[in-house]
Amino acid sequence: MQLEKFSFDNSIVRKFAFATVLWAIVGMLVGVIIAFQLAYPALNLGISYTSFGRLRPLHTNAVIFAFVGNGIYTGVYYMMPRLLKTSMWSKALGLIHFWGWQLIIVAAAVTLPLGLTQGKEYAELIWPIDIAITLIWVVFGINMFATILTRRERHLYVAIWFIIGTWVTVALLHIVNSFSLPTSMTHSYSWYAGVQDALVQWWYGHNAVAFFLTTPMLGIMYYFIPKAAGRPVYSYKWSIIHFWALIFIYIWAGPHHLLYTALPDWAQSLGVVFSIMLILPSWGGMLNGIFTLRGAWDKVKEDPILKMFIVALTCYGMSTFEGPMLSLKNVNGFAHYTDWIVAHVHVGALGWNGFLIFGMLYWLVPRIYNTKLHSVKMANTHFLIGTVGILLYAIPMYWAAISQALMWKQFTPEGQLKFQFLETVTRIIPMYILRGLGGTIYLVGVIIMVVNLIRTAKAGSFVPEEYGEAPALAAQPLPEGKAYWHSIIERRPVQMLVMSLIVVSVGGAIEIIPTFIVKENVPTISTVKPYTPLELQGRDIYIREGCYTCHSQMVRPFRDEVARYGDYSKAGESVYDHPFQWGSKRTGPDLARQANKYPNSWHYRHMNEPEEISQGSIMPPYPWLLDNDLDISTTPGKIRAMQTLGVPYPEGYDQKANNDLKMQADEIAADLNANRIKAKSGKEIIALIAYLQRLGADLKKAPEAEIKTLH
Amino acid sequence: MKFKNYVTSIENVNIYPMVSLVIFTVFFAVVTWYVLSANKEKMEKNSQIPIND
Repeated sequence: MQLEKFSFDNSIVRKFAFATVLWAIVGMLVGVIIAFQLAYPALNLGISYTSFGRLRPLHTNAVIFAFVGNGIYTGVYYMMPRLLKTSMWSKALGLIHFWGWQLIIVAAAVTLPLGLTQGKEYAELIWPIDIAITLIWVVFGINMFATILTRRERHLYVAIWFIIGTWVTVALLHIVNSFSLPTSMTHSYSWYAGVQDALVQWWYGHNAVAFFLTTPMLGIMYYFIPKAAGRPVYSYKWSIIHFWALIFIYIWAGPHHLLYTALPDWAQSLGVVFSIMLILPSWGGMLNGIFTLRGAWDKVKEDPILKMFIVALTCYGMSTFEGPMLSLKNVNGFAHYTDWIVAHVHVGALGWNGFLIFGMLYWLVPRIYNTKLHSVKMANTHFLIGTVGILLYAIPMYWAAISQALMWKQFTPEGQLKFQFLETVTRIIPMYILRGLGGTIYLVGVIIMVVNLIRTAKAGSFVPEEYGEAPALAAQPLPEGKAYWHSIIERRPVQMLVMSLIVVSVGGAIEIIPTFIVKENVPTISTVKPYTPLELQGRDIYIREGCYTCHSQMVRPFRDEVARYGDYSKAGESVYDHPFQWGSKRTGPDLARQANKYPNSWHYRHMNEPEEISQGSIMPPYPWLLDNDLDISTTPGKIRAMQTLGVPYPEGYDQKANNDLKMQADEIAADLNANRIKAKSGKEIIALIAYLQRLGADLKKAPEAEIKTLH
Repeated sequence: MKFKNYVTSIENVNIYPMVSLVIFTVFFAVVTWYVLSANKEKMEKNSQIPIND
């Protein structure tokens, strides 16, 4: 058989590895900053660009899409040609992928601090960037599939299935969740509203975890752990079940982010059941990884790479046990909106994603530089420091979560809430400081790794291309014996892609479609009316400042929440909310029943300097809202966009909207002036106050109003 | 385009959880059947792919 020669391009791998490390430091540094902002609000610096609400999306996006994203590509561009015995199909597409992705990250790093956001968690980036992501993802996909189609290894190794599954599902999630109607180059409204937006968002959000932070990592695991251990994966049969079960079940689990909310009950129940079932494939995969190291424990004791992999798998096992537990309604009722969720995701991000990528880099960088790791001792130190960092991050967060949730739910014997919200926050600030320290220590570990890798690179000489040879696929005989149906799929990547798409579509379709087409799922409330133009502008400021990162707008039907905030939230309340703003974390109190709770003057002073009104508050100050003029030139366009999305403003209202806006603003300004605050009506703060005073007002206005279902 | 155009209702929306249970069970039965019936030697050969690249 004639052998064909081919080369593995290491320079693209090096580029992605470099980007991985660079963005790791940036993303984690921002994480450390915002962690300390929660303990020391002065670190918000009193300016818009550095306030928590804008930096927090920067942190999450940087860590997920920049650090882990580049880590995934590093792994894929290294393992894929080697597993397929071919070169990557196109170097040019590889370069477009690399530079395109970095440009997207830079665009995100510029726009998010500027407050340009869509206001949906982990999908904040504005619509032009969303389109760029789609294009670059397609470039990646073309390069990947063309490589697979020109391979010289008949069987697609399991790692590649995970990458195929990742590619197709992320494409689906990103496109469906990003549907929005632009009103300008930097602003758009989500296509969906309220309950539907929430369901789509958490279908996306949960599966961003599943298909960006898990399945590609599992692909990396199935390649690099056998590589580093020098032995094949424990059970290849398990890996097949692992793959299909995981992608099938994961997609259903999104609604567990919305338990006890206004989401219809049947969707919540489906989310819970499938979340519980997720333990099986997740643990199957984890054990498959750990058992791969069976008989190699002597190596694990010595080798920092294998140690990192073991901790990564352990953290994966912990998060994937914890996740289903958190999906149980009674556990969720306690843990949701607290720092428990923050701890949970960081065990995953720092332990599973972080350590797996670090282990991969320690293994890969010396090889592409044809040398040995500069210092095993430093790597061991990194391992130790990183592990301590994870623990010091997670334990205080669990502590904070449990003590805060207990305080929230505590009543006095007289039946009053025992703690003011603020009290429950100030008590856990020491835990926030410890968490910040944990994050800092973890970051120090990463810097040690960077030094180690740079020295490794300097000691070696870069190998831009490695060479291999194999017979062409067409020249290879088909394997003898009975062919099983799955081995046919394993040989046909396109069918694999289609099968994966079908498998991941089932769950999403069954949950999302009825919510969209069955009217009974969202009972409308006759008193709920569209926002006034001023409130709409105020709402956009609320979104711009990232208020949803700390405040929920979703009162759950619990005694303590109803006592603390007011009547529980109904699905019909948010039918005009493009996007929904239910939130996922209560660093501050819920705002769904904010209307008329405080006078306008309270809000004015509070936004200027929260500490002045509520002593010990950790909310950042927003003095710029008092100075910035409200841009009302956007009002007609926004009204028209809302009309297109089905919000019932009267015909031609876009032209009258600004008159109404000014009238309402003048009223609020007059009220402020009457309270000895010299406020001008044209400032942003007026719009924000108008919005906050509207939250829940429709229900309060007409308590006798019947809730009816339209037919 | 507008979500005004809802279908008024789906007959028996309760069928959805049942449908999902059936799909799930069938899916797993098939995957398990495959894995149990798979050729062991070939599985081992496949698992060696990353080691031998």
